[in-house]
Amino acid sequence: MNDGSGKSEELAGAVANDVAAEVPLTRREKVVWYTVAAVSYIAVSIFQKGLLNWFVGPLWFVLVVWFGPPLARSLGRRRSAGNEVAL
Amino acid sequence: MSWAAHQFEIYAVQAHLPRKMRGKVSFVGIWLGDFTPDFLSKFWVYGITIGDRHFGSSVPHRWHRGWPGMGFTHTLFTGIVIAGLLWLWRRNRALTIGYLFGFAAHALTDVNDSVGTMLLFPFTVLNWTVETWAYAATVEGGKYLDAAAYYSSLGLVMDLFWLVVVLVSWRVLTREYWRTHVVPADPHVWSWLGRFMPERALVALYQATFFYGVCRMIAWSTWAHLIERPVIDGVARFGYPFDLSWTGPWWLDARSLDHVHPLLVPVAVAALLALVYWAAIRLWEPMGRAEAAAVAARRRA
Repeated sequence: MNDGSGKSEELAGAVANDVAAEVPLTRREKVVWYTVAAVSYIAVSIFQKGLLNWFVGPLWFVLVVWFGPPLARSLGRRRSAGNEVAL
Repeated sequence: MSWAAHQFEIYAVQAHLPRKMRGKVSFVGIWLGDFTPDFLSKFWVYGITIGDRHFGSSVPHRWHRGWPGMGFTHTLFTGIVIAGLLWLWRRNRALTIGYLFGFAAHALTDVNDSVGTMLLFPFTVLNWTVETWAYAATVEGGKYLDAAAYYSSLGLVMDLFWLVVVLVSWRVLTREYWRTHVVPADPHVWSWLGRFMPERALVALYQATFFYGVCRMIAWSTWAHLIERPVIDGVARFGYPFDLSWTGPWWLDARSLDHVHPLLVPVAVAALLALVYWAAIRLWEPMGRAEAAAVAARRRA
């Protein structure tokens, strides 16, 4: 949400930079994101078996590992920025 | 047919390249080679149903593995022809040899189901099969029954076997391995992709086929044994029954084509695999010299 302070633009820019540039994942982050990708894909595809194909499966994994970490970081920044404003 | 085994075997091939080829054979080539047989033939095996009308093969197993049909797509002969054409087109040793290894892996592992592959096509159109599990693709059952049968039989063991082979060679899945062995063999592909994707996405892309194999194995097995409630011989069941006996599962008629005696097959597969590796090793240096000459000629031009 744009609060008019320019923070949203800053966050969007930070996400874009994180996606474009390499942000090394810690071992823990890697385990988390690989697990998120696997569990979510399995859970959804058991009931939507059309997703169980060689194109969607690899794409799902790449997109989660690619965009998941920067999105989570931006949400973390947004939350900490919100807390600062509240204080 | 094999399911996740095809996703795992490409990493097994990558991890067990002959010593002098390590870091020099294209993983993209291995992937393409392993993918080609089913890409060319499988779309019509299950077909599609629109309204009441089914579009697809009327005898799926003959279409997929037999002659007449698309069975030639699962033969070493076709792999060699396409690899030869690739070589003539690109003069790229890494891609050509990788493609041949991937294609051979697919054609040779598919001898395990009850239909098998025409290993010695075009010299004979007899299929070669060890009948480890039942080939189950049918017009009526489609992909679902095929998956249920595969993941209730020794097919599941086959997938787990290849998974273990890859996990024993777990380094093949690491970023370090990707940097030192995979990227150098395909520098143009990875550097082009690197213009759009960060390294973690590139590594994920390299690992993605393995990830898909693991997930598809778990998802289909879960569906077949915990979700589905099939009626078999008039009896309602909680999941499809497991049957790890030879040519199982018992609750489905294994499809078959005219074939050689199953005891001949392991010997033939071992001999053909050895032949492919021997030929690749023998051709490696001459192809390298021809590639270098072609590159030099392109530069001069």
